[in-house]
Amino acid sequence: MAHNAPPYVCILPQDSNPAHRSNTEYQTLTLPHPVTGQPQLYYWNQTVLCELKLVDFDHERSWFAGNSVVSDGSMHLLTPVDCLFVLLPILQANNQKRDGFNGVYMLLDDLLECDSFPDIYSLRTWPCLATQLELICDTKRITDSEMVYRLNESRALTWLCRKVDQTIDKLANAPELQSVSQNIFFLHNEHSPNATDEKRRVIVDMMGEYLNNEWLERLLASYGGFDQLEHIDRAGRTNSLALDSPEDYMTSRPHPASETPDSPAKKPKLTMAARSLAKANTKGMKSMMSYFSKK
Amino acid sequence: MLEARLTQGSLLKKIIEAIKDLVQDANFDCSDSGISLQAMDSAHVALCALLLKSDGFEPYRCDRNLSLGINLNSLSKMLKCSGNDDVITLKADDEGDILTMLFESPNQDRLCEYELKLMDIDSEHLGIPEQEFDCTVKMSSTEFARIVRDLSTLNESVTISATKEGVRFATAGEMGKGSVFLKPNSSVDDSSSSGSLPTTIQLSEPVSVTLSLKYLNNFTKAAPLSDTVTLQMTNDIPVLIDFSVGEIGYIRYFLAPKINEEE
Repeated sequence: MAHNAPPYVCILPQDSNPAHRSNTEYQTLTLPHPVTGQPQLYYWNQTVLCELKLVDFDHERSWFAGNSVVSDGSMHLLTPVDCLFVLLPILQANNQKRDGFNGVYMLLDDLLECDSFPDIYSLRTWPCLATQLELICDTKRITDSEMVYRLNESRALTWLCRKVDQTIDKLANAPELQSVSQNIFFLHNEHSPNATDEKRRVIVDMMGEYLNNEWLERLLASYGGFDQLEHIDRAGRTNSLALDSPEDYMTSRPHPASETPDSPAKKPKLTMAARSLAKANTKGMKSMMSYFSKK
Repeated sequence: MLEARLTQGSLLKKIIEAIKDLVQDANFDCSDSGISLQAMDSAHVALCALLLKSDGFEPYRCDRNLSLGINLNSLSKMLKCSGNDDVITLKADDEGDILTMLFESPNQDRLCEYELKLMDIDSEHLGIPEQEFDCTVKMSSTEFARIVRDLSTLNESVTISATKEGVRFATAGEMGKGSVFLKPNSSVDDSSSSGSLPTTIQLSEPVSVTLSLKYLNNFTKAAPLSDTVTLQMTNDIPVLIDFSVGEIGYIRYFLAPKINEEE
C-alpha cells in the first residue's frame, strides 16, 4: 500500500496464538471462488485463509482513530474462510469420476497444481491440510512420507452436514453471539418442533455462498430439500453475492413480528415477494415521514 | 356496522394481491364515503393509498367509522377461496373482532362464509396534500410492468427522465446498460390500429428521478386492475404511481426517489 493512500479501517481476525499476534503478515492469493470459479482475492497468513468483506456506508460515516478522523467510513473485514470450501471444487475437478469408476488418487502436490490459479499451491503450508483433507477424501499411504487423496463425496457431504450443525451449536451456545443468532434466524417460535430444521435451512442458505450449485443441491437433498427452499433463485445467486446492505449490520431494525406480540390472530409468514422487497436497497431514499407530515 | 357488497368480487382479490407484499398489516378505514387504506412498507420509503368509494358497492352501509386491522396475507388466503365471478360481501360489527366475508356464486347456488380475525394495528396516518407535479405520464400498465421487469434484470434502480420528446427509463449495471424510450402518442387512430394504449405526457418542466426497481416491480402487481397507469413526478419528491380500480376508486403508490447525497 502506497504511503500517500488515504487511510482506511481494516479489522483482522485475532490470532489464537498470542505469539503470532504481532507479526501476522497477510499475503494475497488469487484463488477460484468456490461458487463461480472466477478469480477472487484472498488473504493468507500461512495458517488462516481470509476473505475481504467491505461494508460501505456510502460516505455517510467516518471513523475516529486516535486523535484523527478517518474520512473513509467503510469497514474492511478480513474474515476466515475454511480452505476446504476453496479446495472442494478443485478436488472435484481433479477427481475424473465416471460411472463405475470412483476417481483417481492424487498426490497433494499434483492436486494443488493448477495452471490458471498457481496461488493454490500456497495452501500447501496450511498446517491442518492433511487432517482436514481426510474429512472429505479417501486416503492411501504410499510411502512413509507420502499420501494420496481422492475426493469422497459422501464424506464431503457428512462434513458439510456437521458444519451446519456446528454452526447452529456455536450460535446457540456463545452468549456474545446471541444477538447475531436472533438476527439470522427469524424464528417465530424458538421451541417449535421445526425450529432446528428452520435453523438448518438458514445455515445451509448461508453456506450456499461458498458452495457451487451441485454441492448446494446435494446438501439440500440430504435434508430432504426443505421443500420451501426451492424458491432460492439459484440462477441469480452468482450475481448477488456481495450485495449486503449496510443496514444488515445494524441492530436497530425491529423484528417485524415483534410489533404485535400478543395478537390473537396468528400471522402467516411473509410471502416470498415481501421478503425479497425487504432486501431492497433503500440507500439514498428518505422516509415518507420526511415528505408527508403525520395527521 | 359495515356491510359492503361488491358485485365484481375479483376486484377485491386483485387489490389485495397488489398490496399484500408491500404491506403486511394494515387498517381498513371504513366510513360512509367508502373504504380506504393507507400504509407504508416496513422500510417506510413507500406508501400505498387505497380508496374504494361507497358508490362502487351495492349496497353500502357504514353507520359509524370503523377501522379494521387486517393481516393482508391472511385476507389474501381467504379471498383465494372465492370464485372469480363471485359477489363478495364484507361485514363487520362496530365492536367486533372479526370481518365476515360472504362469497356468492353468480347463480347463487353456492354461498361461502369466511370469518377473518382482526388485529390491533398501530398505524401512523400521514397527511398527503393534493399536489401539482411537474410531469404526468400516462401509459399502458402492461407496458410499464414489462419495462420495470426487463430493466430489473440489469440493476436495482432505474432513472426515469421525461421531456416533451418522450420518457426514458434507463439503467446500467455490471452486465451493461439498458434503456426504453417511449414517445408520446396522442393520436387516437394509431392506438386503435396497433392495439396498444398510447402514452401521453403532460409536462411543465423536465424531470429525472431515480427509483428502486424492486419497489416498482412490486407496484406493477396492480397492473391487472387497470389498463393504464399514471406516473406523476417532480424532482426530489416522492413519485406518485396511480392505478385506477375500475370506476370505483384507486390504488396509489408513493415512492421516495433515490437521492445521491454525495453531490
